Amino acid sequence: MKTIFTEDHRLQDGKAELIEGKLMPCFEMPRRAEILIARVRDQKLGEVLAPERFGTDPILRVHKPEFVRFLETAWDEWVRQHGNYDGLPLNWMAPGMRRILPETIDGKLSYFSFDAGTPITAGTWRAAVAATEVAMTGMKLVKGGERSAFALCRPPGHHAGSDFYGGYCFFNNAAIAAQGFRDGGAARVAVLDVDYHHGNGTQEIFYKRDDILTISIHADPKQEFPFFLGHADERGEGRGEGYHLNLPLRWGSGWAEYGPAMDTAMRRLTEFAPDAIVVSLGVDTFEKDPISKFKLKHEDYLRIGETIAAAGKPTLFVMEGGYAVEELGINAVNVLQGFEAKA
Amino acid sequence: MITIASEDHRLHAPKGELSFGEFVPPFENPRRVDSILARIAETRLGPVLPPERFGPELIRRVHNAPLLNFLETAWSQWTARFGAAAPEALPLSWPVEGMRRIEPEGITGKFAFFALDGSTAITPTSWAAARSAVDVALTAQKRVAGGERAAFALCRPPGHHATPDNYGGYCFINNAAVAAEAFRRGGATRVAVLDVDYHHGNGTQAIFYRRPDVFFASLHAAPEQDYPYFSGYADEAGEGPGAGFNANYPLRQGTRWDAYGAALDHAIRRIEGHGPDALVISLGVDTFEKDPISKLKLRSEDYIRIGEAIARLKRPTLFVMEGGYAIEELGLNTVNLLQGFEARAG
Repeated sequence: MKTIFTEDHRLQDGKAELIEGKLMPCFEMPRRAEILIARVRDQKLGEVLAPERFGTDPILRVHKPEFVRFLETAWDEWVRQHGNYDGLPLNWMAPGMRRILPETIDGKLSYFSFDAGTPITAGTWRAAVAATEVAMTGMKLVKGGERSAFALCRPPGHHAGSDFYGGYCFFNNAAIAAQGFRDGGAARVAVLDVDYHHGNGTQEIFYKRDDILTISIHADPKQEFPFFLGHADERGEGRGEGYHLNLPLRWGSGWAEYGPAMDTAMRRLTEFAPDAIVVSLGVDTFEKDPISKFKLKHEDYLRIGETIAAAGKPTLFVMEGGYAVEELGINAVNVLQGFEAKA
Repeated sequence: MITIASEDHRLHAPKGELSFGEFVPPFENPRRVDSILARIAETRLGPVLPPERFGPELIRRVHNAPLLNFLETAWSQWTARFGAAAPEALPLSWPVEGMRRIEPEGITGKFAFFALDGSTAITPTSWAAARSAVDVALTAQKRVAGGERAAFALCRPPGHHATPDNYGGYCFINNAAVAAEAFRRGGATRVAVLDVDYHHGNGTQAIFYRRPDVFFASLHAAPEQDYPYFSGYADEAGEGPGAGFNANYPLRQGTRWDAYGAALDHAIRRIEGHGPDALVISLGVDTFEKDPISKLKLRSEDYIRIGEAIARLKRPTLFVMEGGYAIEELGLNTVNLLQGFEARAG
């Protein structure tokens, strides 16, 4: 399997995120991508390619123009107002408040964000755009006939919606790639999100569409971030009704719970008969992940890959979360190797 | 004028707030009350008395039970999850548009559900301090309901950002709204709340937005420029039975007395038209030119004029302390307003 990778991910290197009442060093750090690419090379998974340039056109297919403009200019506006340190939002919209875009940078951060764990830094824009190019390059390879590809994206994307960022995500790499498949001629695309956290951004982006099936297996939002989306009764809306599937699992879930959820997801996915599959590949379901509470083991990731391969479709893997840094490479590459063994 | 104050405000003294991307010592800190009490003593404004204790009944009339249950138990839930040595409690994330308002089970989810911002830390004794501030407001309200021309409730923590379901902006319980409700329960047919804090009183607006019996007027920084950003526009005029009973006067950053005074006159006329039996003033002086987190340009003498304008309404008046963070001049500006009032109230 080919891997798409760029060193530009290093441009997103936030100093701190707000978690558990403290500003702590960001869990989503450049070291993650270093570990992943090292494992890809170590296992001789396949060629490692640099991304092509795509610019912002593919981004604008799923994100609103004012949001894209905001991310492009946010750092400069922040520095003008506050100086040269990472930007975090201060407050947000409570129920009954109005979604009118403020003029000042602090108001804009409040308007477009949904957490205080996703700092805007000097390199955020370039790193986030580069990650979308990694995903688009992988999409192009698969569209061009590769059985699969691994887009080693960083920063991740699945929490980013059409006009909001958060959860370490700025642009939704997986959604951009899924739309890329559609624009490239695929009639139906499925996005399967196996990250520990609900893919709220991907759900929001495709919620009213029947051409892109979205499925997410994740920690129950009653217990876990992002808390306010990802319940089992969210099934899509309008034309999209029936084209979204959430499979929330309780804290402590291991393969005994995860395996059946994977089977349910794959049954729905197979029935949809997509022309291509995008996998939002998070491995923060791992038993030793520092911020998560599932109990998957190294070997379970092989099974995830095998199960996805059984669908027999062109498949793009897009990297999302996973924070148990040393084991991150093993788990992610296990999914890919499990896939290859059965593909 | 009588002042009601409690030492229990010191129970809420967090070490830090998230302010524009960094943790800083809180602007809203116990020294604020010290500054005001010093000036009250210096000017011999009047006696300073401790509060009586009040039950939760009136608080429950302006806040919903889930928020109150959360605030009362937040610290014990937080330490149950993160240990006795856990840092002060802050939220991590929040719902965006399109997400669902279902109260999560875990404490981090509950913080995301009930908080308005990351600048309002909860400490082991924040709830006790918040309850004491309500006692201060209700004790002063009782004085005014009992016939005093005016009284000053030196509340801390402040209250005007707290909505029926959310806390934030340094506020936990909406002291001014609870006091307004007390006037209503005590027999006042109509009450007006005038909020002169720099920041929009989004909580008070939300609490009374559908009610015609409590008129709410707020002068504040334009929400497109300043906190709380998503509430306080001029076209928010009340809803349903409350339509026409909410008046917002957003002012651009840099506004001085000329434009401020004109807006204040307009607000006063609107309140006069409402014919309230009692008046509650949400008294913030962060409109001051040297305030560290605000961008209006009022001078110390302007506060005398605000007090005079309020006195012209000739209503029983309760002053409830809200914001103001220029510690050195905080006492001067606050007491200027109260003295301006007294000079005209006769």
